Amino acid sequence: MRSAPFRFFIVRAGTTAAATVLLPCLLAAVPAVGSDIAPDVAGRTCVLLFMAGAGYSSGVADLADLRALGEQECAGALARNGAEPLTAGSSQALQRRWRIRDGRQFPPAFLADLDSAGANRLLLVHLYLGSERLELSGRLIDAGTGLTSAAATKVCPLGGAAWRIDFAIACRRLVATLAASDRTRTNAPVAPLSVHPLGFAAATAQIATQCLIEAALADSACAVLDPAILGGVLVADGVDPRRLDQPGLALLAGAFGAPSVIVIEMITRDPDQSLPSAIDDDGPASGTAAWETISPFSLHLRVVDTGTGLVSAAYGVDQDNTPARGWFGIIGSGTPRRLIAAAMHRLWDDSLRPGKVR
Amino acid sequence: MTPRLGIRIAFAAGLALLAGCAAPTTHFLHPDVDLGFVKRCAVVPFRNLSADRFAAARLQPVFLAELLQSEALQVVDPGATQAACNRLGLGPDTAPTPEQIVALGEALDAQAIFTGTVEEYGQRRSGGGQVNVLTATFSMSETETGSMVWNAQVSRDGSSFWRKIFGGDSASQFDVSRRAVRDALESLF
Repeated sequence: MRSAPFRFFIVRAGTTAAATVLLPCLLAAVPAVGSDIAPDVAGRTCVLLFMAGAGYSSGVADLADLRALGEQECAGALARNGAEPLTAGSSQALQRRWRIRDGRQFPPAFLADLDSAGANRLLLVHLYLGSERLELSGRLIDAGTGLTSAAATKVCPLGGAAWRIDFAIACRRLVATLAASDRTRTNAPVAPLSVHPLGFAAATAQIATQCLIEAALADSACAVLDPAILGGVLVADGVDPRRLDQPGLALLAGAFGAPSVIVIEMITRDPDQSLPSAIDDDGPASGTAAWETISPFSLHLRVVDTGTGLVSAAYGVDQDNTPARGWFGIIGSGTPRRLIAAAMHRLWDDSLRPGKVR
Repeated sequence: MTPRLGIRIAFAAGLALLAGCAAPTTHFLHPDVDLGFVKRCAVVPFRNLSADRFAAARLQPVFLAELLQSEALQVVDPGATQAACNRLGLGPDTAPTPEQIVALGEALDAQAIFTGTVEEYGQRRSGGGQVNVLTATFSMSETETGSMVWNAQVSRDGSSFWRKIFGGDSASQFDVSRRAVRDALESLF
């Protein structure tokens, strides 16, 4: 009779072999956007992939393996979409040199180094690993201008032994979606800072920041500066993005020509919320609050004029976490991302309407 | 209709009106103050005396939005205000002294500073259910001398006459907060 570890090895080896055979076939089935486009030799794209909200029990045994697979798949998908990816070795060397650990802020020196390495674009991907599903949030950033040209999110299930195949397909679909929605926007740029959480884990705030960018990009005319680039510039100059004073505003106005800055706070409405204060900080994600659940919350947006330092408009929305009852009494499940995205779109739409306060 | 029945109906209607009315805002406005000289103001982080840890953080953006809606004053960004408070060593749980108000006014180029204290925030039993409640005090000080020129204490809850009669949930905490802040600011502008 075989021992349990031996049986596990056989099962795992079988799964890996099946994945090796099936993966190319399945990936070929996913449509690639512009797959016949020649690689853009003028500038490469640096793939940065980070785990966010990881550390939960799931079918994925090795997070490093998952990350490596994701980087490989995203780079391959980029190449198929006509963009030349920076080699994994160069990308990792840059990350190590400038201590880029979570992709929440990019210092200007890192961007300059990226330019000298021949890359002018970033593909930033965050993986949110849950117990039954995995979410991939990605955005394409122009490292020279700081503008986000596309942002998208894909979800894939984590059940079963074939998670590698599901994950690879999700990576490829994410890159294809980003490539399809990638276009130049000519209007004056809006400058949203990363969402500041109160009572939420950093991973949840990061999801909210992604939803903010997606909502802003849904307005087709808007050119959107990336919060990670803005945050990096501020921190490099010694300015706390959460306490943006006049020199900080002048810095953003000078560096990016932004007429105003958008500041958003996400505050829990759960009266029993008793998270430690470190959760509020932009530090590493903590395992104490899962990104898969969310308490009711409020989003507050304010538009700050970079010239005067005055608040020119303010808006707020409330969002419950109770399941919504739809047609025929069907209860729709709301994942945290869906709830945050819905609230963020409402907030953004409100901010586009004439008038000052809602 | 007999006169007695008419009196009864009038009495019942009066009771109903009273039940629907909120308590008035208790406020003080300095009689000699001229609000015309106040163009630019700042809102310092509110103090929290309630059991809810984030009550002050939730109420402050509501106050800011309502203050902007009045279109009476220009408001310095709370981020810059917070940075100035940090530089002056002004903590979130201490009321600023007149000297600190003057210093804040100079640092932010503001003629008035708003402060606030959340005294009660959360839910209270009312009848057969729970209603959201808020009790808060707001103040405005001018930055030449640091003296207080306006103070208002307001208490609102999510119940209403129609909710009491026909049932239904309490108004949300967000709506209760907006109503309380609006009522308080009406005593100023």
